[in-house]
Amino acid sequence: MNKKFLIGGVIIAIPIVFLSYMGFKSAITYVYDVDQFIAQESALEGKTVRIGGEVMPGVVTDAAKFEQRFTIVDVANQDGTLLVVHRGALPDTFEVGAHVIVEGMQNTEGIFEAKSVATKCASKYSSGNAKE
Amino acid sequence: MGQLGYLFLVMALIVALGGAFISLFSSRKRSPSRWDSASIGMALVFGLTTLAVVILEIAMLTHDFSIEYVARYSNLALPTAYLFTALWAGNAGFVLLWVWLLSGFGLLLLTRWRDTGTELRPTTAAVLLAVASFFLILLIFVDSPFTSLPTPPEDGQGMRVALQTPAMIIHPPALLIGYVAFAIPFALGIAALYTRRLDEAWLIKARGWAVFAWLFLGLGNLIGAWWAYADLGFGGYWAWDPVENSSLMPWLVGTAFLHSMHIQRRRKSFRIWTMALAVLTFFLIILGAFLTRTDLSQAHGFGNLGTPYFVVMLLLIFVGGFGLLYSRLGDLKSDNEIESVVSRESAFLLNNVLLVGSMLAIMVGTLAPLFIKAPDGARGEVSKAYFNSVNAPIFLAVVLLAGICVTLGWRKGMLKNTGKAMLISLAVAVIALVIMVVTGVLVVAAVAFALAAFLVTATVFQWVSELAGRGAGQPDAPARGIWGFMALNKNRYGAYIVHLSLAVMAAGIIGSSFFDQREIASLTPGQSVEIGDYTLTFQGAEFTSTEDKMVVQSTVDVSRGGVFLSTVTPRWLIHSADDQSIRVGIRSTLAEDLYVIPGLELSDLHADWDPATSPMPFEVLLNPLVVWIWIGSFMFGLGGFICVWPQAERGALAVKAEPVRKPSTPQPQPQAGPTAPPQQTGRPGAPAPLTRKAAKKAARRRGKR
Repeated sequence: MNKKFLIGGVIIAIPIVFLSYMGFKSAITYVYDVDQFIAQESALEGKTVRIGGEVMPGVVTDAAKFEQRFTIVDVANQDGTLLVVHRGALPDTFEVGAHVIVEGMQNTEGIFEAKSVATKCASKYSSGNAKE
Repeated sequence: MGQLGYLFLVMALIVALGGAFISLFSSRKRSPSRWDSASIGMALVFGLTTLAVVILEIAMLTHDFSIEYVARYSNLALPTAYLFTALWAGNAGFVLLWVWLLSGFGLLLLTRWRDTGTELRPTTAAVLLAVASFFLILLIFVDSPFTSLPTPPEDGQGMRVALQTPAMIIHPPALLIGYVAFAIPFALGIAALYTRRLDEAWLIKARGWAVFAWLFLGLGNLIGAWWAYADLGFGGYWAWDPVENSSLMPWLVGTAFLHSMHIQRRRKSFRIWTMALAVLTFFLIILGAFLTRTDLSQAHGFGNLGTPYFVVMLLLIFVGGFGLLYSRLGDLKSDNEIESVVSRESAFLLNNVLLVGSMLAIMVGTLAPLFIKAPDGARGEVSKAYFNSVNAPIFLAVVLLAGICVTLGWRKGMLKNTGKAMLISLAVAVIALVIMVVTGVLVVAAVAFALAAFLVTATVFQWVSELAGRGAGQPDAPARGIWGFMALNKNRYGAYIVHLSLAVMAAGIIGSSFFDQREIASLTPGQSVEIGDYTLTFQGAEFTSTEDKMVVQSTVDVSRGGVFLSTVTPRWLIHSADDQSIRVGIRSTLAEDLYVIPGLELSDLHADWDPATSPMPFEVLLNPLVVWIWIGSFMFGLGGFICVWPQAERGALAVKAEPVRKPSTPQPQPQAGPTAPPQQTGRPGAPAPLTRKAAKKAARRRGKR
């Protein structure tokens, strides 16, 4: 009896593990620092990537177009910057100084078009959110 | 005052550590009194932590900003109700409440424990006090709620506007109760292993606490999902965020644990599984507590880490718990083997595998950032797609299994009506599937809905069959009405309700996962946007400012086919530049949710902005069937509460006595006295008393002889 269940268990486990593995591999995304992204801009051209950075002062919003333009700077080195444009609602916790992760692609004019912006407020207990 | 609170914590730690040692080393003596060193120690810890909690709360209510915690999470303008919830707004306060509840529950357990399995008592107390010590160490050495500020500010930083909502009153405490209460089955399990008292004695005590913990952990997760969706306006109810996962993983394993306990009580098998799951559930809770403090999460990032303490604790639990389990493997052998592949036991085994598998898949995804590093140095993580694609099939398999299992019998599997039940349920599912596919529903979703239909049909059919057949086969049992019959078997019907809730929630999840739509638009008053077959017309905004915040409220009329339906009023609350919150406008029907997110930003509020004429950005979502998730949540709570409620008598479907078996290895078996194991009632043919009351009665009877 025990052998039967062991075999059965393995038979069930195999597809689960296989599914997980395939799902895992296809869903891996990398989050680049701004500096890392800039360094490999040409290699990453046309690819959807996620970039983590800090929001700099000078956020421009256009309510009529429901669009926001802002610049993010490399968190650690505070030097490399990237101009980001986004359409749609931003998370509540989005503000100058917030650490954000933008997902999207850089367009031909060198502006990063973000499909989504997620924030993490590093200091206080907060409920940041990700608007996809 | 803060210093006094801190002092109480230090005293509590000393008592807890001392109590743990004394309990552990006095475990040779079996003390019949309820006020022994264990309970006194627990009572002292509870008393001291109560004082600490009271001090912190008083400081909060009197705005004592010399205490950093008060200054960080409250301010003068905060309404009184939220001055209470501020107690758990921050990490240190949450951990303080954890110890307080743990010692309170522990005290409840110890003082009501008088007869069955009292050999387990000292070790159980020692483990609980040790766990309490861990949290007290965190409070004292890592992150104290009583740290004082050298120069108290005039006003506190205040609670984030997003947290000033009724959900804040319920969600964290519900989760906390779940986290805390699972320590008790864990402690009982360790005690059973340590004292080699490996029959079902520990389960008698553990079961009630396990169901209680599981219910609150589940409700806490569901309330959190509701909060994210309806209140915080995330647009979704679950993001597979590490913090969310940290509360889901123990719940999944806890579900397996509950089912495993059930089998162990009925069939005296699955002992290893049950014990392992008890340890694993608690391990995952502590792991989750650790993960929520790290920066894995994009959303919640709490508190100082205390990494070395957590690592030690996690190692102790894992190595200690599983090591002890391994050393007692021989004693944990089942009395009965699984007799047939088609039986309830196999279904439960499969259920365990699926739930633990799901947990492992979630764990891998959650921890992915720790071990994936791109060659170019970027940090790796997995997207929501991974979690969804792995868990969806597992979830559906569980739904199918729950439907199959409810109609199966024990041991040999096929009952008289198993075939009929399966056939009818299958027929309903297939008919539903065909109808859906023919009307153009996505095949994958249709299959999922069909499975939910299968579960509902199977459960309802079985329920009705049992009611119809009540009293049959037990001619000497008193005739009972439907309610009386169900009341006697409340755990079974509570569980049926929970299973039905699973199907209902599945429907909600399937609908909102596959068929959601999204539109963005910027509207001036009078303009409209369309989504699905709705037309939303913006009627204008209103700007108000109170003493501590500004509010921009939009009015949007919803119509369909030219017929006005209702108005939604999404709002945007601004406390300060870095403290804003939106309240989405939701129009909920059974079929779908219309979800309106206001998209105005602070930089849009310039001098030319006029609420009556300026364009207002809106993001509109159409989420089908979401309300069924909340209906299912309510059913889950209902079913769970029915199971948790103490039961007076056992019913006709209760466990019949198995003939007393010789234990597989020689165990010290006391021959008389109040601590005799429950099977030896001395009355031939009497059912094994599996409630405390009945056990007490039997013990008293034995004592009289």
